[in-house]
Amino acid sequence: MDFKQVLTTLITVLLTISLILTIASAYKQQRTISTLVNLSDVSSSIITRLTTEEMTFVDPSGEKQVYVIDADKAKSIPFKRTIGSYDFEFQMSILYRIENYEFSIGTFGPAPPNDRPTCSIDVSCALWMEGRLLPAKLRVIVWMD
Amino acid sequence: MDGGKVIAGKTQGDSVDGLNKLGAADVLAIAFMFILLIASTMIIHAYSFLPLNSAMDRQIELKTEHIYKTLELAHVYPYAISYSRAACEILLLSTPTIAENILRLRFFEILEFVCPSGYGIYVNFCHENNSWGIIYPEGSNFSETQFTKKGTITLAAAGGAYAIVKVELHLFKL
Repeated sequence: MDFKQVLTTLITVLLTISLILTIASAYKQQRTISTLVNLSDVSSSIITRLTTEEMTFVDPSGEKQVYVIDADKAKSIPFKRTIGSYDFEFQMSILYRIENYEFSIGTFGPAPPNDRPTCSIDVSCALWMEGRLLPAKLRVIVWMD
Repeated sequence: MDGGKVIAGKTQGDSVDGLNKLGAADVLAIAFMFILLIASTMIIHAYSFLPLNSAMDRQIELKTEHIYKTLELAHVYPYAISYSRAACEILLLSTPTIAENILRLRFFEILEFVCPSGYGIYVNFCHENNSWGIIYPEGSNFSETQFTKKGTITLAAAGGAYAIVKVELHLFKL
């Protein structure tokens, strides 16, 4: 086998290995992105449910005020959810603002894990506090159980 | 006959030598394979980010809806009137509950609080030929509007009179 044949074989082997590594890397990246997309959609779903259903302030007439949250309800909501046959957990906190000062309530729920991917989302809403509707942000961190 | 065999032998030997040579065509083929490999890698990686970008867009769409509702519901401290209603009063009333300069300041503060990082917000209230708007961050260009939420606010007065104010909220990438 002369030098040229060795060179051709080496290049072929190099190309094949590169192709296999590319495919393996793309597959791994695709799986990571798929997990992140799933987590992102689940966090959107959870936070929508919180602001429009579970955390909503109920006025004295018994009517639910959508997009107005009541911080007192944070302690009574479940922090484990099953969505699409997968189990998820989340942690929640509330930030609100009076004039130029920011305050926070919480955190509520278990601490996020260090060994799994998590997704954080915050949405603005109104917070019912002492007869006032204050601008606030509800923040959740979601991970797969 | 012998001469013919020699000629035939030379011809066969030459063609085998020719195949073993690394010619320009072979170099081009290898170079093309490398280019193809790099291009396919880049395409695969770029394509795999598309679902993540779509998920981010869905989150921003959700945030746009929530920002609109927050302006509609949350009160301007220490008044008992919402941000959107206060802006409508600027358009409709000669003596609004909150003066325009104070409201502009308060609006700027709330937009700073609710605005997602890397984005800007433009809110415009329009009644007939009058309009009142605010943009955060100040002086940013909102031509590339990504997410828009439109709605109306109805203000009723004593005696059955009412006015409808159109509201537009644009969330745009900075």
